[in-house]
Amino acid sequence: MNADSELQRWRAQWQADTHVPAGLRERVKRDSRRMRLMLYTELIITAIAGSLGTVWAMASEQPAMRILAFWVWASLLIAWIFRFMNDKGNWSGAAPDTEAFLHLSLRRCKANLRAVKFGFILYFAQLAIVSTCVYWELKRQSPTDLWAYLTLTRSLVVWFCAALFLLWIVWYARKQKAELNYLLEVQRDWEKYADEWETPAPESKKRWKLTALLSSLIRDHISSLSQLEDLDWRVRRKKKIWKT
Amino acid sequence: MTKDMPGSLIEQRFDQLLLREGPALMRLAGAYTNTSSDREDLFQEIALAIWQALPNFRGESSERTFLFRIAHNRSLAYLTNRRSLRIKPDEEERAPDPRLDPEQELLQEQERQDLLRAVRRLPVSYRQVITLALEGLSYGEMAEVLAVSETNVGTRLNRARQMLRSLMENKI
Repeated sequence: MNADSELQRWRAQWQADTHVPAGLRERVKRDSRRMRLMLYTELIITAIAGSLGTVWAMASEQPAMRILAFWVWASLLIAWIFRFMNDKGNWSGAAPDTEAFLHLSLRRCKANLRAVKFGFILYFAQLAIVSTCVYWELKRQSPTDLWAYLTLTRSLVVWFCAALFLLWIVWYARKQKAELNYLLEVQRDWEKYADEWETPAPESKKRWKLTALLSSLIRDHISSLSQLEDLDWRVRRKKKIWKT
Repeated sequence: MTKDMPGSLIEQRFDQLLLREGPALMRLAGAYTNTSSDREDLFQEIALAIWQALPNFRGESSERTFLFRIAHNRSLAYLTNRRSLRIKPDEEERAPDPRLDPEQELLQEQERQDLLRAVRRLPVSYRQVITLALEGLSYGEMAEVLAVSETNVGTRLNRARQMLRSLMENKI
């Protein structure tokens, strides 16, 4: 069969499916609103946590509560600074091509894994400091046994939430690791097949080796750093292709 | 071009684009998913990404290549989440074509399913180029979507077709 008629036949079979789900625009608008809401939620949580800490500290006027309010604001600041630093360069919504998109996805996935570790440390540091401050304040008001404090109903609620958070963080970290592994797999697959048309045929390998040798000789005479880096990259890429 | 467009105009533009390219994007989603519900999920994600990107579209490329680029990136992200690999593939439901007799319809549906299954088994880089070719994009358009040269598109398409043919012949 002629190659073009084969493609035409496939095309006709492929395009025979014309199904499109209904009510798409409304669903898209709803998803868009949900995403915006999630973004605002972070800001609202910051404002509520910070304000509550401050109000409590002002009402109590005790050193422990002032330390607590200071810590709440400090931890919020640390969290936001970490967030901006961790997500630096990952804000771009779109990538010009698949390779760039893969790199962006890998960076985002690694950033998420860092965020998981950071979230775990910050949450439990927060828990330790807040619990200590509250215990200090309660003890100041009336002698309180540590065990009695730890088994108070509200304390038990906090431990239960902490356990839930821990479970969620373990699940999320596992999910991110699985995504990272899959992304690396896709990247390997992508490089393997995307490089195929650039792979020299076995008989022309010598010519490529010679080119690489010449490149390394010429490199000594090139002053521009960017050109040098580019050449370096090309040679490394060719070596990688030969190995595979 | 679309920048600074009022919301209602963007909505109108979005509707027009989806009306024109919706079936193609839905077919593309089918190449990256195994079940019809996953396919609809992915299609919705693609539509959401288009909705968000549309206000920033400055007409530097054609609308069609802009849409396909977004769709391919979203599909790749979807594959990463591995949602498509969770459930075993099912047979997609399709309304029968009244113009065809049942036997012919069944045969055509079988061929379409074989093609879809073969496309799903291609490596990502080949799947991208073959889905674009099956949608009838020119080499220039495909090169623009994939950000590679037309020569590369030609080579890749050729290899993708060889692999697809072999998968179809072996009935996967």
